[in-house]
Amino acid sequence: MWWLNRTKRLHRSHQNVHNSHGKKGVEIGTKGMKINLIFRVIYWSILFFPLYSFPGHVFAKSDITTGPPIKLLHPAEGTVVIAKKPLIKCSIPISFDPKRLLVLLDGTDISALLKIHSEGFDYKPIADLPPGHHSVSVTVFTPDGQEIKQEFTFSTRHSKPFEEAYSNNQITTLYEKLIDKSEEVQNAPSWKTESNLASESKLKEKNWELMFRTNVRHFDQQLRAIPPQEKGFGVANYLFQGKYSGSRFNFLGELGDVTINETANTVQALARRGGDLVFQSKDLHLQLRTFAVKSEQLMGFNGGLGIGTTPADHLMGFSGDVGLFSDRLKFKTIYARGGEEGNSFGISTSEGAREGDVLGFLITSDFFKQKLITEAEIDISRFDGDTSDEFSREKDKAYRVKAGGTLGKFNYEGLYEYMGRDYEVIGNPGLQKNREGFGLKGGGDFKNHLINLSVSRYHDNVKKEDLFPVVYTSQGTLDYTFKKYQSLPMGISYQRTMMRSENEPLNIAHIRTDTDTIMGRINYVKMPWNVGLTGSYSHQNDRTEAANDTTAITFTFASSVILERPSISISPGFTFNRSISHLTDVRTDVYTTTLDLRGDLFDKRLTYGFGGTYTISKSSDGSSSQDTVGSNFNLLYLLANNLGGFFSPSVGIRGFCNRTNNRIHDQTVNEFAFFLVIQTKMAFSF
Amino acid sequence: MGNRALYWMPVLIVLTFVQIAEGLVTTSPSVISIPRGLQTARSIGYNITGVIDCTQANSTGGVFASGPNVLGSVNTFVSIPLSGGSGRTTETVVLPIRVMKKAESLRVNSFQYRRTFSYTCGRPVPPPETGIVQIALSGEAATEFGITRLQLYFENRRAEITVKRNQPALRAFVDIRYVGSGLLQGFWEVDGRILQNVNRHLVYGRSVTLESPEIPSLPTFAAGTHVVRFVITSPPPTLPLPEAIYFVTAEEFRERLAIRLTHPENRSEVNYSPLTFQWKGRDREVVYLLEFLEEGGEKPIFSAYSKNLDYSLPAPVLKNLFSQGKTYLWRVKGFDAENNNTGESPLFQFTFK
Repeated sequence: MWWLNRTKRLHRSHQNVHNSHGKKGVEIGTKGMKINLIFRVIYWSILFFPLYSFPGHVFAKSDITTGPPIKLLHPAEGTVVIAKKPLIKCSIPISFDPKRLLVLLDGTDISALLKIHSEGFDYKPIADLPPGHHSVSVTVFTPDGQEIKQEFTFSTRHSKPFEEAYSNNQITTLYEKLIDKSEEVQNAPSWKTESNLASESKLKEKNWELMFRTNVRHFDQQLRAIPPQEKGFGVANYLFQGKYSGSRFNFLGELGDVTINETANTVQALARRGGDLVFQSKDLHLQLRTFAVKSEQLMGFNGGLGIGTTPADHLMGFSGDVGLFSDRLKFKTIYARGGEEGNSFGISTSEGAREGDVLGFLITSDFFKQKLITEAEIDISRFDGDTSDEFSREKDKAYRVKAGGTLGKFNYEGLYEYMGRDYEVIGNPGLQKNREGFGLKGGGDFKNHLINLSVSRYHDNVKKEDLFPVVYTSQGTLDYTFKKYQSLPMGISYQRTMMRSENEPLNIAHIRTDTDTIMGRINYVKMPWNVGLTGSYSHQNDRTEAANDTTAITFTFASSVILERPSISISPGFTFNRSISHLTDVRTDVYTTTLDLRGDLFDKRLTYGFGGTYTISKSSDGSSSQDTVGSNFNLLYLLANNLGGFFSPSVGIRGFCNRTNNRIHDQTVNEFAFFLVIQTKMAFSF
Repeated sequence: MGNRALYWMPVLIVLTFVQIAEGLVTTSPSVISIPRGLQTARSIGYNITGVIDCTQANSTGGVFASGPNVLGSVNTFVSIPLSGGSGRTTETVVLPIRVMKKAESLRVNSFQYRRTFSYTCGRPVPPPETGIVQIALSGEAATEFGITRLQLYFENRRAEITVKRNQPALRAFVDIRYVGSGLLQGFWEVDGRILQNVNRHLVYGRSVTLESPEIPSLPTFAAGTHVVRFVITSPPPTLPLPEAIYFVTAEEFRERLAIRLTHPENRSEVNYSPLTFQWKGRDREVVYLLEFLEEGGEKPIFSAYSKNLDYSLPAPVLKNLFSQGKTYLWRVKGFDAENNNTGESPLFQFTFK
């Protein structure tokens, strides 16, 4: 009924105007009579409002001659707009308190960003609106405190053919020319060029989505290129993804640099070039996956797409997941096979060509909202550690059982695992075969304290072969963190590990080794400062006749300060390392001082960076005494920013200086080189 | 007496001459321990002394043997130049798995690696000499401390990454697979400059993962290609050291500086009424976005823009979206004039009484 009162008030106010003024009053009076008539119509219309009103609107469109009080002028309600940042205009043809105007766009309060005027407001989004449906909720408060709220909807698309479409590209081009160098520097080319195109593109229409990311590189220099760099064009990395996201199922296809993660005892954290396909059924809680990747790690065009089925140099497999009871119980099975041929980019190994396959089953459960989570896995592998010899694959198994959870402030975990003597998997080189044992962990997170305790006991030679000893490794770790002061976290940890051998054959030495490690840490974090101090002491006690004891001591001081005015970041650090061989009574000390700084001047016209390390190392027996200095720097001047809207060239100088002083041999080597640098970045998006 | 001396003199001279002509081949180390079931490489040093008038010692190959049983062979040529009757060289011997399997099939856990050297000399040529290394086969835990695999990568699990200029906190990782126990010593190096020295006791177990230091992190102030290595000095490396590459683009990284939330304090209890949230920002930021989440939630239940350093929760929003007695999380993000995210606060917690 508030509309009714408002109408009456307006009516009375205009009558007052009509009565209180002379000539003006006559004009106003004539006007006032018209307004009076209009408001009489409105008054009676409101009386019969319930007879013709329908949900979602204050007034039925066909019955209202003046329209609703708040109106979405642009975009028109219910329409689809092709824009990333559509202008939103609303009219509010009533008096309202601008300070209390509340506007939500997709649930976000944008009131502070509105351009408010007497008839309403305008809003230009500061970020791209995601394609799809949007809602605008407007709440106004009249001067007498009444609240009026109205909601509108509209849709956006980024382009006509696609809901969402963009391509962001950034090109970096670099040219370096050698200015000067010392004679000792042999591998500095007289010139070098490098370019990189970083591109990310996406197309989305309804449930379908295509995405492509890549870095394409070009490299050339006067000297021969050192692998893995190659002259010419190369694809440093790429990933093409096609997705379908439906209400009942999802589909994902990937081609390029993918990561495969299956189970702990099969394929895990394997980042390689190849492809994979994933199908998910939401109704059935089912996921199926198949993959095929190149075994060696690739960079550039070598190895092509990475997809292939030759088992000697590819890894391929499939897996299936099914969930029951709203995914509280899950089953997974995986089969993978493939081979690896030794070293590749970023990987160095003593092993030769090997191949094998693995079949794994995993069951997990979480019925108690993470209070008790269980896992059980069993796997069978057939593995040939050397495909060039006459021996065939060895078959073996592995299994593990784990239970753990979180109970309020406490967490706990128990694990038992068995890895067969010959159990190995191509896609998981970190697996430790021939091992059996258990581990227990527990911890508590209290208001100011965090405590964690773990114990474990493992042994090798799981088949108890009498040709070899059985080595038992027991370990206990206690870690404590005091976190009362958010800017001053500190902690201490202690670990003890004991190794003992049993059933040694006559020609194998007995093992009896204890290792104790204690570590402390304290940090001060309060912008712009970040300062940290850590110290550790570790002693490995060889309790056999060999008495090959060693001690390692490390102290580290690291700090960084980031200032805005002037814009500079400084990171000094110092580390002391001491290692002691008690058998030979030789102590080796290494002192390392580092300094990194970077910043800009003149509103980022001039940017600079410097990194330097000074190291002193010496042995107590006089066998080594050396100090080294290594540093590099870069100074750039921005010639133009966004020339033509996309081009930003810079010119500058880069260089390095190294010095090695060997006091034992009385040799000093000085190296330096300086380069003229011309670089540019170009950005274009559409 | 004098006649006896005269009688034995020629004999002594001949014997001395023979002794001088005979060589002595020693190996270093003379005993090694290797893990069963794992192809291993070892560096063997050969030292020859006591061969006068000889210029070279050559060997056409080596043999793995247990007594009379030959387990395998190495068909590589090794040559030692001799000077003043002595010389030395090293050979990297790869012990293949098939040799170990043959030894196990004979029920032996030790065998020998023998390499025979013949000499190139003036008269007389001494007989060939054999250098012998005793090899003990053992489990991975009981063998000598050694590195069997190194994998270098960045946060994307690959040995290559592309980052923006001045991007902070770039770190590299190295997975080290090892056998035995001992003191690992090495250092992180980028473009030939040492970042950090590492001394760490390793006890046989799973592989270990080391990270490059946080301060100083890998430098990103210069555009172009940079090479990272983890150089191992002890145990003596028998593997080539892998490299990881990162490329720095000319595009500047927009650093997100910390925004400090000042009111309400973290984990505080507040009255169920329109509350004013306050924070300390930076000069660069022109717009702030507050986000409110429920405990355990990932997406915000409500968010709001503000141009000031405070925001008052409107009454209609409080009534519709927030409940008494519940705990919520909030954070603030800052954006500059170009709508780049330049600041972010940690998540703070509060509860409506």
